[in-house]
Amino acid sequence: MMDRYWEVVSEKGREANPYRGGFLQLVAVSETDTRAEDEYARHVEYFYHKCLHVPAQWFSPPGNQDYRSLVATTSNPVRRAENPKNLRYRDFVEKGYVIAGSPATVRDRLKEDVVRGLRVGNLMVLLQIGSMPHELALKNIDLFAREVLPHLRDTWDDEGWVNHWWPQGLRGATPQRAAVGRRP
Amino acid sequence: MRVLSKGVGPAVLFFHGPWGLTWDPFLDELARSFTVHAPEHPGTTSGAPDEIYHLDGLWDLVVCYEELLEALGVESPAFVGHSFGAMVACEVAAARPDRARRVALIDPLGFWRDADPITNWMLLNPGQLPGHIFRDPDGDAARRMFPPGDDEEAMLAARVRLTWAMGATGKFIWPIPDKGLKKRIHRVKVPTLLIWGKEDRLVPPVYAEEFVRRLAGARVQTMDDAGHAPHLEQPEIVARMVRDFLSQ
Repeated sequence: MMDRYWEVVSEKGREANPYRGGFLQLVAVSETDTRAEDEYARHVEYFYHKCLHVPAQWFSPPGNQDYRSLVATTSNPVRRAENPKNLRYRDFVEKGYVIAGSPATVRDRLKEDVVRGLRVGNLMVLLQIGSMPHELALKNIDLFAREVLPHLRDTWDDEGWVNHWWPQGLRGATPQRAAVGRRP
Repeated sequence: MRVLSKGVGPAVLFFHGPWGLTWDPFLDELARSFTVHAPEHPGTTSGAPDEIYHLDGLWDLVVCYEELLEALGVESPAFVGHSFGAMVACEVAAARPDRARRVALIDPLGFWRDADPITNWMLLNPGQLPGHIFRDPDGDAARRMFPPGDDEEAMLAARVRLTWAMGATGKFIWPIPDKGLKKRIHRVKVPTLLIWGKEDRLVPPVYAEEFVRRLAGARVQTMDDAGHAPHLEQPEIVARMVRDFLSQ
């Protein structure tokens, strides 16, 4: 999907600035890979098994798409190769539906498979997944912010790209304090 | 605006419903006694989907039809409309009472009753739509509108055509299919015939009362063995009703 996006960017003669791209990724961080499975498996499965049902009439109600999009989606519908209801937690992790594990596991996979792999400057992370309770969501957010995020922020710095789509006042203001602060 | 015209005799202007125009046996029957002009609602013409963007609201649509009457050079044709098209026919006749000689409405939209809600056909599961438009969802009329799945190309083309037509017409109806016709319909003074399928599962036949209350010259004929599109399921009978009414 993103490969095709970058092809189009190139065909249009635009620079391959990674900050043109954004990607949403489900992420679950714990102290260890095993612990991540213990804590998050049932919530990830709940999400993919129960939360993605869309009745047929809501996929494309009349007036929802312009004509070209309507023709394209009708003749070439998004068909998943597999039904997520047949997959379990380990499948979701292995296939990248969710990137989960220890901070080291998560930051390595995010950096290689997602940020560099898809060439995205804007990574959106979904940290509250399915039936995940409040306290566990807080833990996930906290670990991600402290142990993972600081290692991703400088990914594109060596290439010198500027994020033209981000408010000027916030550019380059990497919130280092949050990364070194103490966990309450 | 593309207009399909056929036949000889006094002029009839046919306003199609939310699923676009198909020249069907009903129009053929009418064309034996009348010159039938059947315009395609803006945006529903093949190859010109974006024409719908020229119209922002119901008033634009009414004015569009008034200009069409001028362009066709017909002084005061009879108006025949189905469903959404029947509502538009009422609106045009109310705006220009001098331009409609008689008005025939087939399962018209136009009013809303909280106690008898109209089914939102745009949000039905695609598989449920034929059963809501037709009394017999497996009959010939239904199969002409919804080609069966064994011809995938025809089925997908029909899905695009119907979805786009519902969007282009629904723009002037929803969120509630009552755009204030009750404030204007009294301006229609000419004789009006209402034809309603007894088994209309989209717009219940009780809505005929709303029209009769406000139109002094209205009379109602209900149709056995017909749903929301009686002219498609019983073309000869409905054409005869309309012909007899327009010939009086």
